[in-house]
Amino acid sequence: MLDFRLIYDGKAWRAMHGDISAQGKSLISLDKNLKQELVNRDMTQGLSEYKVRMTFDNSCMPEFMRQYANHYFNRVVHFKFDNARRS
Amino acid sequence: MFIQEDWWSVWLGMTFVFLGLCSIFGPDLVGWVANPHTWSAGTPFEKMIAPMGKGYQSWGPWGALIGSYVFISIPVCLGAYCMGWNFKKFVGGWTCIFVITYASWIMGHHATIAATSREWSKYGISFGLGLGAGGSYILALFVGLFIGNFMKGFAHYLSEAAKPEWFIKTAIVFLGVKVGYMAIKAAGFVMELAVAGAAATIVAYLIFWPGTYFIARRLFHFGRKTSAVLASGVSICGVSAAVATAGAVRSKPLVPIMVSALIVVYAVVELVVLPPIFSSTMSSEPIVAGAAMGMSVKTDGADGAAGAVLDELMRAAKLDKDGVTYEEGSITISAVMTKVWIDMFIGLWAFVLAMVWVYKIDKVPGEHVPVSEVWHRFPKFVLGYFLAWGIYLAILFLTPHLAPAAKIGAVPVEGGMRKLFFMLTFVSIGCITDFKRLAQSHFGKLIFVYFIALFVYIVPVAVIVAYVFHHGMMPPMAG
Repeated sequence: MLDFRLIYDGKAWRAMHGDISAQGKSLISLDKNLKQELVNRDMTQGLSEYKVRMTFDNSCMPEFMRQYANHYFNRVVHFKFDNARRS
Repeated sequence: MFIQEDWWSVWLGMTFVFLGLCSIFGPDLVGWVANPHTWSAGTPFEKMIAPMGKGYQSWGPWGALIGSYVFISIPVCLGAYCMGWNFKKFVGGWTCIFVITYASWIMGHHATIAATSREWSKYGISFGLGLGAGGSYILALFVGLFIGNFMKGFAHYLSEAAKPEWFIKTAIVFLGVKVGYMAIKAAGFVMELAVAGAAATIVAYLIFWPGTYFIARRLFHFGRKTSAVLASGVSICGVSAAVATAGAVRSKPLVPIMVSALIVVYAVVELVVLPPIFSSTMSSEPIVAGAAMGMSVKTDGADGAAGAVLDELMRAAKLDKDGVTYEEGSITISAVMTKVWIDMFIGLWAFVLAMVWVYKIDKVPGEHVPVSEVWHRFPKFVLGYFLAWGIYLAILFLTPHLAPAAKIGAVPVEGGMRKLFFMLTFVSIGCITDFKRLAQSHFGKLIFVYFIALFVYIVPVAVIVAYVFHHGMMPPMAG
């Protein structure tokens, strides 16, 4: 499982882990693009499932709101693969 | 646990609760806290403010003020340091807020503001507002609002230390001492209040949320996600519920940000408007008024603050009318009790919404909702509140012979410090509330849906639900 930092940059959702990143206008398209990125990097070879955790970076929230809520949301997404090379 | 305000309200609150408990073994370690008294022209300063503990009377007013500043600043600044705030800016801002708070607190105890008509002759005055200690709270709020809206540079400087949620959550931990300690004379009342508060909260949830969602979705044609965030923000518990719901429905952060900005401003409006209305219209049902306040006012800070004002206004009115009054803090407890239950349900509600959204409405293939979300949303300060409550309850029921000694350390915490943290909350809320934000942020119809949902739907329903579950309950009398 990989842990990604999740942000919303005002236009799109972005998930980042080191040099791996993906973005999408919706979470569904983000997931689709991230899944493809993992496939392109051969990270899913031989696997039938790959688990990804996305932790929302709360620093994206304005400062006045942080005292009311320390947490926005985290996601756990299971990407399924028919085989290692196809998404 | 050492980087979140929520947890730090537990550490800060329990530090003083445990210091207060030391009185059981002899030393009073919290009696230094400075507490103002009603005064009029000619009253010497040492009669206007004094340490609460008998053993600290020799410190005088300045000793008590300096002692309060030093002993409270140490854990507060430690918390700010651990949470990674700008330490230098925090210490400066905290010092200013502390001074403003005590100045407002003392000024608010002037007889023309605080004394009831029965006390006017005692203070040599012929007229007054009769607000009791509530006058200090209102004054502190207005001082804060003046700074926040007309001294913006100064307000920005104070912003690092103006943390109403932290202060009110700490005050609520102190309130736990009051609840446990009140059980000596009114065990039935406290338990009944806890049960009625929980029941009322569940019913309110089931009525408030769908109704507000309907108003936003059907009458104002907002989208599903925005309607859900609005419904939680307006009907449940303000910013934390709006953020929790937005996170649950995977909303873009812009939605909770806009709703939260509205909530903060409207909460201050409620804080100013509702206590005098409730106290004048529900004078025979103080606990109904308190519980309705807890369900109506959003954000813990504004609710605790509004409950404290209501408490003072209703007690002053009762004293004025009958010559006797209710136990101090009992109406605040009813307001906070419903809010605490609401806070605890937020995590569960957010989890349910997340399940509905992720698995039904916006099906996201492969996504799972971790159960840990419930714990992430759980308000940790509630643990401190119940712990303080439980400790005093256990001492007073299991070892009643220790009650007199325990009371020596409990009174400065549940009385002096709790009120001080309420006062800090009022000043801070004012400082961070900029009414221009409403005009600048292009909220459009969000402002109207919020207004209608709140004042036409939530507040009346809250009064009805509070009446159904709390009518006939009376707080214990003072003395």
